[in-house]
Amino acid sequence: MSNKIFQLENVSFAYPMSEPLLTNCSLTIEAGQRVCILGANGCGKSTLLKILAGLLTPQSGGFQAFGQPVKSAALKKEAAKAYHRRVGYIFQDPDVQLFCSSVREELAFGPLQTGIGAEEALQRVELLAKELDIEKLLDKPPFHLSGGEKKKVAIGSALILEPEVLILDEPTNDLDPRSQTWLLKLLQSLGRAGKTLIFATHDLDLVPHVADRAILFDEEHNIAADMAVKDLLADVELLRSVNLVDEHYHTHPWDFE
Amino acid sequence: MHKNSMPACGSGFLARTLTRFAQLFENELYCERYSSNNKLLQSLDPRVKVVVILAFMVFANFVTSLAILEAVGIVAFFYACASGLPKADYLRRTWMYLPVIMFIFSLPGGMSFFVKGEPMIWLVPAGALGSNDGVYMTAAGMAMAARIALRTGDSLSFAFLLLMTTKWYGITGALRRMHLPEVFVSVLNMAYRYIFLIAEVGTSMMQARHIRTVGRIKTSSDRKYMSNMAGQLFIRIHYMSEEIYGAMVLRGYDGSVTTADVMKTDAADWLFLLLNAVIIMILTLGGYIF
Repeated sequence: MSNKIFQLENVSFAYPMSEPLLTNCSLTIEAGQRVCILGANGCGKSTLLKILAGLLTPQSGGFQAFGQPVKSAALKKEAAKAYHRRVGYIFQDPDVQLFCSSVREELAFGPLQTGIGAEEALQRVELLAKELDIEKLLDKPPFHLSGGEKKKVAIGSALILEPEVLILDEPTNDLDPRSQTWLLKLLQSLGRAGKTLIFATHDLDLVPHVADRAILFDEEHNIAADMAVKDLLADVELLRSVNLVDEHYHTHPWDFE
Repeated sequence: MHKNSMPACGSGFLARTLTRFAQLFENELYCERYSSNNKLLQSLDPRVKVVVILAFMVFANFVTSLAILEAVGIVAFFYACASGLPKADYLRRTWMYLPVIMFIFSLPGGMSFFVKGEPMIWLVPAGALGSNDGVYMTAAGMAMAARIALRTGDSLSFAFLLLMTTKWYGITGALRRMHLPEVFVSVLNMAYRYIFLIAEVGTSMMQARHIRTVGRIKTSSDRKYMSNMAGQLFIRIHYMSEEIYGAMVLRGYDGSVTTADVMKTDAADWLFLLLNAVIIMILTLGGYIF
């Protein structure tokens, strides 16, 4: 049986009346891989993640997920629910992901929408809240939470569906160092549990601790490199050529420990 | 709003706008603080509370007796005290502004031109200024203005009680259980949720302008800035609304919302419901007597 989760062949995407954000992008992501997407601002990282999540449809090229061709326009009702139960997505800005009137409702939203019974959904909420240490927040409205708490709830709202694949867009944005460490440990434990992790980030310190594979985009929206994280971060010249780092960037041996 | 929480942005248009935004947040925090108390109304099932409060509001808008309208106001005040709401603040927020304004605006309707009756306050004595009968406020007209003010105050008091003693998710949950269309509750919920975000973005934009402002700004410039800001906010919110919709779809949203009912009605709720039914019956009977 194929291990391939996502397969993109010559995928291109552009918003109407705009420059292309992805050009002839081909890649394959296998189950259990921990992949980071790197690149300068505006290179197409978030667009790629949204295509993988089924939110955007490529204008050309082939996109397969779990061995089946995907067209998000055709992802209707039950098919869409089934897809989104398998693929969780965490937005860069947690505010867009938190739209319910309490954290409890927020966490229960996904399970209830995907047909899980109310009793089981609420049980899952209690368990997950304990795991993420957000029990005290359950009855609070999401807009009263701090940035770190919002991020935790946003992550919880995706994790509660127990997805096979977790996609994160700039997961460490707006997080204080303590919350970043919490997130790092969470991602590591999810990786160990066999989840497929795909995340876009500018936080190069995070990358070697979570990902084993890196996909680098250049400013022309093409894939400039697809290699092991350690090799990519060591190739400062390559990182500079795509305008991701400046001449002062360097790594240490302990970054990879 | 407390003086010490005023944004330090001087006076004038910018300061006023920032103050309004700050008040919005402060109001919300205020609600959150009191709805967390474990007093009379806070400990009740929100559904029971919504039913009782709606019943009082409807009753107040049908009853004509001034004494009964006052009694309804006293009931609301009693519930405010029993729920631990600060009395002075409760009276200021419910009775000091809107009912007074409603009374003043209703007064012209109570003049002898419109409502016949016993003269109560003479504005133009009979025979003066070429008027044979004179112009005066009639007793019936004054009673009408008082009735409008009391109805406003009563409705406001009960609405305030509901908002101050119930967490927002309790209110939306209760509305759902009362079989209001889900789309209505969802839109209400999203509007409530995102108004704070919009206010936050608006505050940041206003502050960004304030710290780059030296001296006085012309009113025309202020107007131009406001229209630009409205446009900017619209663009941002439009982008955000697409993202929010995407976030909902990613968690299984297909146009309808499924919710879990976590509310429980116990003996105290039924007792409260019964007690208030009795109060309304007594007040109804009182309406025939007074």
